[in-house]
Amino acid sequence: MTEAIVEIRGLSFSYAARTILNDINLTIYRNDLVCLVGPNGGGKTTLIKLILGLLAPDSGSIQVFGLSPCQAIGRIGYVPQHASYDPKFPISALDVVLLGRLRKTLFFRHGQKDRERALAALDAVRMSDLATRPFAALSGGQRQRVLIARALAGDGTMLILDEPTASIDQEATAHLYDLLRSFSGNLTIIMVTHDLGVVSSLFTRVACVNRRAAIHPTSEFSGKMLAEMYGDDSRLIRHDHCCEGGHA
Amino acid sequence: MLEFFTVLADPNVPFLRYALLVGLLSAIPFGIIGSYVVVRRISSLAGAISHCLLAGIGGGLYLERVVGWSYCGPVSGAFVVAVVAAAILAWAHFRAGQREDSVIGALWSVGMAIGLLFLAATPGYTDPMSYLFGNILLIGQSDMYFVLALDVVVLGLAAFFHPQFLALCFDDEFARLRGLPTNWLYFLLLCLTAMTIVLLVRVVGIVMVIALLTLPAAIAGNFASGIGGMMVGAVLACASFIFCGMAISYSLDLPTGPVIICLAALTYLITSLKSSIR
Repeated sequence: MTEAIVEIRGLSFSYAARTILNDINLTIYRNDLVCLVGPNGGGKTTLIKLILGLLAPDSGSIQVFGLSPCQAIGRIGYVPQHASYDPKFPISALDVVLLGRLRKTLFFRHGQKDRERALAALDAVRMSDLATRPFAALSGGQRQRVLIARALAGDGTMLILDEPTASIDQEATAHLYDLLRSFSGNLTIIMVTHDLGVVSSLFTRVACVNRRAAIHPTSEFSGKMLAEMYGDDSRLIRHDHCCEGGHA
Repeated sequence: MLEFFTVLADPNVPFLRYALLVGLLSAIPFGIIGSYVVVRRISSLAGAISHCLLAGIGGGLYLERVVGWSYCGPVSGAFVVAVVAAAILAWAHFRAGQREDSVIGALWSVGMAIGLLFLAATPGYTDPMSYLFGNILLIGQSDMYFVLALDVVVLGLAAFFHPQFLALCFDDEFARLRGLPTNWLYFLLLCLTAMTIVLLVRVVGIVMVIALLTLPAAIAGNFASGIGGMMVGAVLACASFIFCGMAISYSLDLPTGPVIICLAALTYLITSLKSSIR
């Protein structure tokens, strides 16, 4: 865990006149399992979009795999919070995963290797028997897994998930966490979540993001930190109860 | 109906054959581009582009007849305006601050206004009706080459860029993360849409373009499980609407464009009801 994969120094970002992120310093190492928590509007998604290179910082620097985010494009598997697809889009699960194999060339065709990698990615999320199923006919949890497979198919070594549990039920959430647990040790994972109960059981470090960011080992994560961040620690208690029940 | 086939075979009536041939050939770009328009949900953009074309048609006629530039004309004018409109819409899409919806609305009506002003300033009576509602029977031999050329361009570009277009239509943010030049791809897709609309205007007119671009694709989308199947279905549906629409309008002496559109709409209604009951 010595090689820094993401290195953020003195980063600030604002939309119009509103400062979203201010003087962020954050280092994420190889095979780190980092969870981003913080209140809505605290800048979690913005931070992720900066790491992905979808947004450019006002000041400060970001290095991803030692490169600028724009140069590192394609090396990160990303699972978005709200996929913008048409719910009736006529496409099979396998074809969605194949989109994750696209490369920046003028003439692109999926080859045999792309198919093999896409099927392997579907296998990794235990969806290979539904590969030919229309994406629109899948359940919310299954679609989520297909999108994770799409992110894995690009052969990146880092996976970023933005609130993956927001639109799926409890059972699918439990499956998702099992899946992420099975990736640990092989992938660097950054996940945005409001589900604080899972923080200690799955992740090694927690980054609290609310205009500023502070990163802690999960073992030090406490109600006091949350109280500072959210201004009310009753959320921790409530989430803990619900999620411990769910994971028992 | 039998009379339609007799006239079709009559060597002295070439215009009906041209009309049918052009109609069937143009079903190819309509079905392919229409499928992209439906899954990317940009039919309002297609509407704005088509209404804008009147500015190009009017401007082209004005330059040809008043200024005397013989190489100008309604079709070349429409082409130029179509690409300009596509560029404006792509620009509005990527400038976060611009309200895309307002730009669409503005293009839609300003294009019509400019077109009507040019038509009014052009001496000799030009009936805007034939541009607004189309007249497939005015199509001649030169149009056929034009359609053939467009078929080649649209089929070629759509085949060449298919994986990229698919990624763009499904999830453009993810496409960007794979390193694809999504802004250029979006502009290219809008240009292809615009070129297809120029052709479509000849067949059904400015006002009814959106229906013939989107209805066959939407019908095919009710059945197809992949976008390739949707495109084939849309091309076939579009070709049969044009063929049946021409036959019916000839037999009953009705304007062709509206008959084609009503056929498409009726089929869409029936297939949608069927698939929602299932």
